Amino acid sequence: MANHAHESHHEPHVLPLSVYYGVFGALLVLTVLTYAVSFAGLPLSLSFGVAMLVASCKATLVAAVFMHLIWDEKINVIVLAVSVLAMLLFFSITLMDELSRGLILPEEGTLYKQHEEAALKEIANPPAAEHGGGRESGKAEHKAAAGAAEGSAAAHAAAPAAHAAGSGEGSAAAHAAGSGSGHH
Amino acid sequence: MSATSIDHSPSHAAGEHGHHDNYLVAKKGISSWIWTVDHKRLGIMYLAAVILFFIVGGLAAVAVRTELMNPTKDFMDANAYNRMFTLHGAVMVFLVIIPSIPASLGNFVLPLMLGAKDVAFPKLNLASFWIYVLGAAFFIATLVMGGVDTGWTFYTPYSIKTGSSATTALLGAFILGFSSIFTGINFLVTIHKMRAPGLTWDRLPLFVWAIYATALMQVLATPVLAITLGLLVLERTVHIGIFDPVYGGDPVLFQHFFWFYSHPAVYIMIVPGFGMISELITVHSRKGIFGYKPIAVSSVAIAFIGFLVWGHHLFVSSQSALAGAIFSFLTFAVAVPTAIKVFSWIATLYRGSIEYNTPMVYALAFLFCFSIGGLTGLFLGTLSVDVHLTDTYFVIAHFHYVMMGGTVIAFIGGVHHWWHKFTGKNYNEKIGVIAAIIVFIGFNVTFFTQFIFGSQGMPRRYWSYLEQYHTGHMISTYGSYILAVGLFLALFNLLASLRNKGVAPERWRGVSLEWETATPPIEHNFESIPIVTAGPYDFPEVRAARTGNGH
Amino acid sequence: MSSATNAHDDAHGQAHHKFHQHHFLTMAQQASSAKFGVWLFLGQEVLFFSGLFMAYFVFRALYPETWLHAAEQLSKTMGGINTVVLLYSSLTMALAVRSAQLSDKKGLVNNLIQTIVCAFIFLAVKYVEYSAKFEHGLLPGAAYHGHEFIPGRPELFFTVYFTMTGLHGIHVIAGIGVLFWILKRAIRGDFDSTYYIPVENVGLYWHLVDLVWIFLFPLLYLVR
Repeated sequence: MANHAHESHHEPHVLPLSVYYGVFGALLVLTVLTYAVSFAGLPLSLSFGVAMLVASCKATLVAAVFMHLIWDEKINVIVLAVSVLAMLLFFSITLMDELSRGLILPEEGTLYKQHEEAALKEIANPPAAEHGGGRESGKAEHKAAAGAAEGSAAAHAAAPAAHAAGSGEGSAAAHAAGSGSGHH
Repeated sequence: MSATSIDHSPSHAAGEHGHHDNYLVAKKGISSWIWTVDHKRLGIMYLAAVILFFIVGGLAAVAVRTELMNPTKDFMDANAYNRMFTLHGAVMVFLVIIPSIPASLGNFVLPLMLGAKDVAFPKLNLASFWIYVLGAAFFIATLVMGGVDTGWTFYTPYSIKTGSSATTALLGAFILGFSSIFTGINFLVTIHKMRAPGLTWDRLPLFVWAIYATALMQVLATPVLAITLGLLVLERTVHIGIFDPVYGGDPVLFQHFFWFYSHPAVYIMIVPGFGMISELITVHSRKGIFGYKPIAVSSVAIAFIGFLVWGHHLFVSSQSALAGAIFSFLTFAVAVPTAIKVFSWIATLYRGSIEYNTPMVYALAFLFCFSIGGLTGLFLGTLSVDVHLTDTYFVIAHFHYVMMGGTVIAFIGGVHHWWHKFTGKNYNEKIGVIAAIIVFIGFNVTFFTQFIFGSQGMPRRYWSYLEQYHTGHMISTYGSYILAVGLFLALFNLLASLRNKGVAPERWRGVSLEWETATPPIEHNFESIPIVTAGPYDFPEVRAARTGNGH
Repeated sequence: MSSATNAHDDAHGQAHHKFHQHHFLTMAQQASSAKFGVWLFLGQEVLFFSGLFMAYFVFRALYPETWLHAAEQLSKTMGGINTVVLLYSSLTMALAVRSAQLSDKKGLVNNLIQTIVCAFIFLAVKYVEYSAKFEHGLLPGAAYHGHEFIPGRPELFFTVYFTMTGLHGIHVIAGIGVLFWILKRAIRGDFDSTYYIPVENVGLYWHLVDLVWIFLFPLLYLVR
């Protein structure tokens, strides 16, 4: 049975006050740091990395000291570690799919590439009116695309085709949609 | 004579409660059942609920099979048919198979096997049960409101748009998820903290190991299902757009979310079956298990690998080709721990004193059906083969061989195995065996046929079909009738035993802790805390053989 | 592992504590089980939130420009204030547990009240932020009708923003509920150095709420 549990709970493990205030001070410093970095104008990936690093440090401090994990039974540390690992697994495998679409075959879900290109184009040529026709007509296209898909896996093949037709640059995407429907 | 010695010095619990009535009669009245925190009573209540919903889901299955008897309409139109197979799938998965072995048999037996007085959190256990009932009520409400037609997987974007009452069904599944999570937490804490003195990890019955692996997956995977279904409810009500291409969302992302839960859920369903079979095969062949550690560890290994393979459900869902290849490769890894188990069971049977009683017949049926189910899984895990077989009856047959031929048969075997422990009555052995054989024949006639016409191209979920599949569908439908007859016979046989008077003698002579207490068990399980000195499968025969060998 | 005599010494030595539940052998076993159970619950909370973080990462990867521009609509200052408020509440919560360990009832009650006040301040700031978003039509999915030009899919950013902070807010509200329960018991004098596991467990939950916010703040407010 859990022998260590028997020992650790007879006498409460009390930490000196200075530890708590010290950790709180460190958390404040890290908060100010991450806040300041967000104004530094670093490249996007770098500033994201710094923000996540600082957040992880803060989280580790809270878990280790405020949640007493350092002095706790090891099994509780394992529970936290396993759940965080499961979460990272979920993130990495799903992102592996989402970000590798179109890598091998052109007709793999190209929906998002299309959106991204459209967004970049909008930035390059901002529409004249403040709340612009660009967005409105973009939405209309999407509605048409989803309507054509009518609740099937074909949504992915159909949407880029509508997009390509709308923006007038189409052979690759049209080809993709064509070969996609040829499969079924 | 037995593997455990009972410590006779008084424990304080026995001192507080002077009476030692069995759990069925210790307290009287309906409210003593409704508010009970006794894991044994909760186990029995789950058992009753699971059997009830098994009948509901089973009747839906018979209705679906009957409609498919002929290529054209028999008695349901296409819409009613869609709702009927969704009802069958959702009820069987969420209300029957997931709670079947862990929540009903596990609840009853787990604390007994551990030598504990109850699970760690008895009130949470009660809450789990009533949350389950609440979730079931939502499912029934869905049925009254006309049913859902999305299939039990609720795939987007159709599930966003369908006019059927998907929102109620989604809320039902959301609620059931929490029942499952709380049961998982309860069992994990119980196994870690409540073991009797001397019950080390390598003396745990393999059923406990299986429940442990299952609970681990329930706690880690089910919350993702909960958030997914919650988002889908928001998608249907306020159109938040995460899964909806109209707002830039990704319908395939839903499938990732869904299968991150639902693939481990497949193992949540089958791993308790593995544990059950380990118990049945050892006790009824009077032999120690072959390869205790590999079986125990492979349960946990399956739990881990189960989290890496969900993408094999997305091979043709516009997932990237790279992801498809990786998932296909990882899928084969699951076969390793599974095969370790099957080989170990067969090695255990080898030269055992096999008794062909009802639980053993179910165990043998499990070995046959599950092996077919597992091996056909390899066909489907192969990326290129799956492109042909996906969404055909081959898939239907595959997962019925695992879920029905595996889990449900193990569950029925387990109910027979522990029926005497639950009730103190013995069912009629001859009728039990006959029912088991009818179930086995009916099951194979129904589903083996589906492998054949599935590989010929018959798509799943179709209401009408080409004439060429007519014979196959007819055989399959007749098989389902045979299956239904066998299942009802088994149920009536069990229920008939309840009319017997008094407590019948115990027949199995098992040596794990649940056999050490009275039958039916007293309210606090043990008169005094048991102290364990040997393994769970150290039968007298095993010990005799060991000393006979001159050691 | 543990011998018969050991189990019995414990059973007799500690069996009569007021809050001892009969199915546990000892108070130590009871406390260690309860804490392990809460940690498992926190583990499932991590996975529960992970779905929303997943959505965040996928859509940020797919619409980087949207994220860059839409995040400017959020007030870094208000997010920062709320971060400090939650960090401080985490401190007072940890100090509340320490007071319980020292059987210091006054300190325990005082720290719990501070924690609850912080929770309400957090919600008040959140309310101000939410009303500003509603005013400007910066809403999730179909409800989005912002006037400012944001490239790509701003409605998805606000879906992610509202679902993440909304679910976190629900956890804060639930936290206030359990904090009041523990405060009531503290005032009644239930806790001392021999029994304080409920305070510790509520504390663990409260720290998790803080942990989630530690990640939400940079992800949503500090994209650049």
